[in-house]
Amino acid sequence: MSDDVQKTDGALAEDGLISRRSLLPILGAGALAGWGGLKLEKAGRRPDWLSSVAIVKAPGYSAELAQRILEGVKTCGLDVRGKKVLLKPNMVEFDKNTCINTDVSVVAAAYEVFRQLGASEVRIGEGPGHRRDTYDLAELARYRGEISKFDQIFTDLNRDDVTPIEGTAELGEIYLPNTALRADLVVSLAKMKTHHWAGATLSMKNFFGVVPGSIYGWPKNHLHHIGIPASIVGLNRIFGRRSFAIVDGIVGMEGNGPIQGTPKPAGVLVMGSDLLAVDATCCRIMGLNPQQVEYLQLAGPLGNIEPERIEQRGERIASVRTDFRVIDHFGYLRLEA
Amino acid sequence: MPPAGANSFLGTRLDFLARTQNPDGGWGYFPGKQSWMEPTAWAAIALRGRPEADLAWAWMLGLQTADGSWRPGPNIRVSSWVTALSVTISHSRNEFGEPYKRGLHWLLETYDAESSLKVRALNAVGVDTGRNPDHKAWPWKPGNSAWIEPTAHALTALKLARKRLTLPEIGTRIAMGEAAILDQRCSDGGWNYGTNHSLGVALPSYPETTGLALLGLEDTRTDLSKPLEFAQRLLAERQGRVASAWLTIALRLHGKTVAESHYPELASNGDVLVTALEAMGVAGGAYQVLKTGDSQ
Repeated sequence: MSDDVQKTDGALAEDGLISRRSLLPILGAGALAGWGGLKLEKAGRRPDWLSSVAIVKAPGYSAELAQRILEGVKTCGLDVRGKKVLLKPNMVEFDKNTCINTDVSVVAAAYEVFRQLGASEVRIGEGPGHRRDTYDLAELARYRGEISKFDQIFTDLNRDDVTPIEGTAELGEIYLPNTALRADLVVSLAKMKTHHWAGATLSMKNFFGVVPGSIYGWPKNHLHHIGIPASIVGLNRIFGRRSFAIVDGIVGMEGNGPIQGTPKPAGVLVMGSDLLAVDATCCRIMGLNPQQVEYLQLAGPLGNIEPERIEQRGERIASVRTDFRVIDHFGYLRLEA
Repeated sequence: MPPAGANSFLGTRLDFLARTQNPDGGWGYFPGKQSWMEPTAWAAIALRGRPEADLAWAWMLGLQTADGSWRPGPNIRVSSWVTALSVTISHSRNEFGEPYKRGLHWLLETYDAESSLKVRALNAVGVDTGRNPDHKAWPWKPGNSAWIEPTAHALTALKLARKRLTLPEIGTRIAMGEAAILDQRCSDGGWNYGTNHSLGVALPSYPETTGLALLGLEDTRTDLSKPLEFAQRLLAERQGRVASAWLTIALRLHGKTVAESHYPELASNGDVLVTALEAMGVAGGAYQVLKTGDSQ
């Protein structure tokens, strides 16, 4: 981390806007990201640990959803007692004719589960990439109506107070929302979708939503100029080590995703602490080859992508595989049936 | 400014803004949060003529950088689109000193990525980049693509500057910026946030960016009767608060009659930006600061 960044953090603390205690995880995140990126890039090697990914069948957005999520979280051995948890859904845009966003039932169920598991704080935060009016979007997506006291537990990450992070080789210095930086655990509550630029958008790409529009604009165009794959990897260097993924594949999106595709029921929730392994598993469920998805390839040092290094818990991939249609450009991603 | 009774639509909003100003003179996006340029600019316009606006302007001046641009916030080292808001406020305060001149110069010298040599070369060899490189418009931050919102605010600032300056480059950039906006109109009649198609697929318009596009196109020579009718239809339907506010401001600037707001109550989440824009949009209200032509 640069002296300038530390100086800025110090100024925030002196202004009383961030307590020195709350700065520790922020400084830690920056240091970890910088160290992690440097070490892994130089080494250029795969992790020496195996990853666990839970696949849980969930045929619909029913009242049993909390039980299904709890089952998956426990299967992965996640301990959230005493931790500040930020749930980061995928809420980008609203179209009543399709299913762009993480379903409200999944967000509400995850909120209850993490509270039950003893998290000291559970918040929900998102910074939509396309729409300025986050609260209106939350209303349309039914978050505001169906999640109790939503306004009190929600942070608009596009307009949150920020801290500069000297993050990674990919991103350089980047300003990120304090709500995300202060969280001990960020849960990427992603939607299982195809993506017309990236091939697929899952738990790793979901971190685009933490980049503040108040600085980088809508639709986070700064990240597109850096490059989508590099930006995904950079953001995951910062957040990946203290993240957990829950991917809503109950009804995903195929075709011209992430906005204009069509609903595709897959009937699964996919969970795990290694976001790369979770996304690789989601790709295989969708009938896509994760080793051909550029950002997953680039993210190699951050987690596991090879099937032999991922321990699948719960359902087997073959039993839930649901091939998602992709636009012609991404035909090369298709796995053999 | 119209009378603002304590319990009126305008009065409750101005009172909220006055109560939530930070001690440094700025406003956060939400009460108690760190000050940012954007909510401060709109709150200062809504409260124009009052001491709170003077305090806000003093704070804003401290955010100007050496290159003439304004930063989005005090701890943020990024030149930004909010420069246009500062130039507009400076104009409204009749302050035309060095900060104004340097801000105006920065706006005139800032282009989108689409007008770069690389993109021009791609267009020249027949690659469809989706944009006309001759339509130089404005990005959120230098080096990025042009979008409707930063272009609209830059156009407002330049059109106000045109009222008192005769620099030919002001007229040139206004013409280019207007062309960029008109070129990206969606097939449904309004505007998306930046482009009207992606990978050959038509994109739908958004109500807030339709309002902002019409803001940037105030005083244009182009016939806007159809998009204005479209904006009126949008406003008659249920929209979010940001969209309603921008559609209201834009329609009033174009001389259209606007019905009462769908949202008589203050935003329950304490949204400063929404509150300021709603206050600006009342009949005879502070939206007139953004008035660049004679359409009323």
